[in-house]
Amino acid sequence: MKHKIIIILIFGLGFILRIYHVNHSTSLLSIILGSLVPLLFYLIVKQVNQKNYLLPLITAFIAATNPWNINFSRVTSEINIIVFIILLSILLYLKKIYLPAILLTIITLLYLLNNNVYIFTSDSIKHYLNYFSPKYLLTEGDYVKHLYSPPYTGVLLLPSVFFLILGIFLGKNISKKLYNIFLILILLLPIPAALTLNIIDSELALPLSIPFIYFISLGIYKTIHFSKKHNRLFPLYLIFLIISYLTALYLYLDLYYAHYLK
Amino acid sequence: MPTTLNKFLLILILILALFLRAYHLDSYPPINPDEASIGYNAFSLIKTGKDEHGSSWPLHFKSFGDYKPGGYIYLTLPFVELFGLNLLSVRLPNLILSLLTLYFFYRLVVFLTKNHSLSLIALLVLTLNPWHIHFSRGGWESSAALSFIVIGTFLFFKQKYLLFIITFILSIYTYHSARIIAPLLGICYLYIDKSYFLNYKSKLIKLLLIAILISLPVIFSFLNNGGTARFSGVGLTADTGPLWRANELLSQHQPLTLPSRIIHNQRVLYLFSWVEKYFSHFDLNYLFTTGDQVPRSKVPNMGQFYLFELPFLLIGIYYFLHNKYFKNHKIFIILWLIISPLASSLTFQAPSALRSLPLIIPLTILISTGIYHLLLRLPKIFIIIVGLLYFFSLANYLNNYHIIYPKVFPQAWSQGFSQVIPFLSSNQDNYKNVYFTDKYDQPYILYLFYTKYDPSKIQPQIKLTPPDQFGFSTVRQIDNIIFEKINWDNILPNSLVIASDEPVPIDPSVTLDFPNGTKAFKIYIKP
Repeated sequence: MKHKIIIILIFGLGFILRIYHVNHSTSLLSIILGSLVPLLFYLIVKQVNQKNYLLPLITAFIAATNPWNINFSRVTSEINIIVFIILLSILLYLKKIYLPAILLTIITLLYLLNNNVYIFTSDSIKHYLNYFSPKYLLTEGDYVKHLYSPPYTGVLLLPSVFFLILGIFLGKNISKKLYNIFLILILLLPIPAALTLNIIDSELALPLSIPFIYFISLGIYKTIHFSKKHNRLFPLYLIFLIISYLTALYLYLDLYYAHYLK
Repeated sequence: MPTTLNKFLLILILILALFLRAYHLDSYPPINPDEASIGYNAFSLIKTGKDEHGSSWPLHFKSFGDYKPGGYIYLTLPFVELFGLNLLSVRLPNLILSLLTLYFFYRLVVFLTKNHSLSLIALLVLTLNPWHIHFSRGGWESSAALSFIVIGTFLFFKQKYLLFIITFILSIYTYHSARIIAPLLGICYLYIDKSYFLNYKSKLIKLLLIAILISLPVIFSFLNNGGTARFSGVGLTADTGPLWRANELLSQHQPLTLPSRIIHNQRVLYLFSWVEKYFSHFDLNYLFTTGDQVPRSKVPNMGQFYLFELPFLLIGIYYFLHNKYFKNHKIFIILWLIISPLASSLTFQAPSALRSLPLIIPLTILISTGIYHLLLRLPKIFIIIVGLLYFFSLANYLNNYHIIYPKVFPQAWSQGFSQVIPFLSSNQDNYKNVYFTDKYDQPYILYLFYTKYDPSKIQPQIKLTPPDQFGFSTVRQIDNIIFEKINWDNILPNSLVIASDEPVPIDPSVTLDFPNGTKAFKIYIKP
């Protein structure tokens, strides 16, 4: 019962963050599909880790509060819908409903191929690595066009960056299947954006937020798991974690509402 | 135990290292003002027992108002005494120390892993590494300090605690950044090994007392000699960006609430600025594709490591964490990773390859772990592939370094001085005044260096200008030579004028070029 309340709160939070004071011209579809992203993450993680109740919740929370996804859910963005489609296709694949999963993947690929011009240059590798840079993730975000995003903040919350690294390098043993899927995604998804001539294309690279969210959640889960072993550490760590995230979220929301929207 | 093959390979790699670092070291890269200052101050100490400004055997050298830590200058003394005041004398201490870094790095990895193959790979990776080669070639105090830290770390693991303390403190006498890195690393080492010291409490106390005692002179000298002034010139707070951002963000809150006053406080924003600078040292583009922005710190079109080493780094991090290559010593590598960028992150120009040089050690270890792990599991042809990757990358680097670099960044190095100064010396008495352009950094010290100017004559007349925005000063006049921006109208008659590209209404009598063909110096005579 408590579990269900937490789930509803997380989804509610995700929805509110995407709709509060949103521009009237924004398509409702983008908002709704963006708000369903945490639900899809929850279902994906639950599908593979049925007995684990914490990891799906953490993943849903990170998906609900991730700045990169919030920024693009609040505007009319086709890529936001592509993110939803990619997640749906992963869920269907995990549920062994293969045909729709393949169809959705093909739709995604067709969309990406039709809507952009791709050129491989000597700068493509630099562009690719830009999506993993501290400047992009942490401090400035889209430092070229500042598309739909507040100033002086990155596409991830500060604590998320630590957990992202922890999740990638330490999270394999929780679910090898999901780990491999998201590892392949984290390597492949920046490629379309890297192959355009833009130094940073925050919109086209939005699908990269998918593996990011998963690995961040893995990292958080691993640290909670680790601190549970040291009983005295656990409640302190939990409080520290919650305060860090609430503070980081507050900073982002302040920059968004008090500075960007004005 | 190392086999004969291991020993043979060790010697071979060290010979390769020597060749890469010593080839043309006496002339390339061209001299930079810091090297000229190091050499000339060593020369001045030998001749007069005082530095160029007349201070007797100082621990910090006033130089350009930057109060250089004296360690490297004292290391240069015997070489200047033996070989004279020239570029090679200034560079030999660092060459020797860099080779010692490599040797003791190898011994350290052997100790941590008991694995000679992995250690040889790590040694080879560091030997061929552009970042390390670059800072081995020159009078770089940073590299000398790194050497002391690596040697000290090795001594620590061999339980030679007193020698460990002494070498670590030598590093803080040598370079500013080491003053943050060495104490932090040292204290962490002692803490991690606390189970040993709990049984030998008196030994620990003795060690700490000795450490404090031999640090006192340099601490005292730092506090009294404008060390803090240096920090305000290059430190984090020299960047006014966060201050402007604080004002901008606060002004957008109407009315101003307490939470917004807290989160947009300039101290909070400087903290974020520090976080940004700290993490910038781990930016993959900085490490693998573009490198440092400062032209003097690397070759163009390359990162601090070879691009193909990136996947090895990622694989290396994974297997470093999951396998037992480093047994229960993993924490030391992680410590190095965390502490190495600290000093550099406190300066406004970050990431700095020079100031965060110690980062090369843990990153090399992780890359080597990745290579080693794959070598164990992949077919033998993989060895050939990796070998070819290193061969071609090294060839490309050397081509960039020795051939392309001087054509792209000649002004970053004080090229042309070795020709123009003798010309100046032989002509200076024919004119009432000589005007020398200050377009290139610190011309006065290059003049002193190349003419082997009598220190007893410079000490009474040397006068530094007030510090610029970065905290650096220079000298405007020595005898009848005036070092300043060439303004033809202000130049007195009967003057020899050595200019760069300042506008001058007459044609030059003589010109000197950079290797890429652009004009370095244009020499005029004002009758």
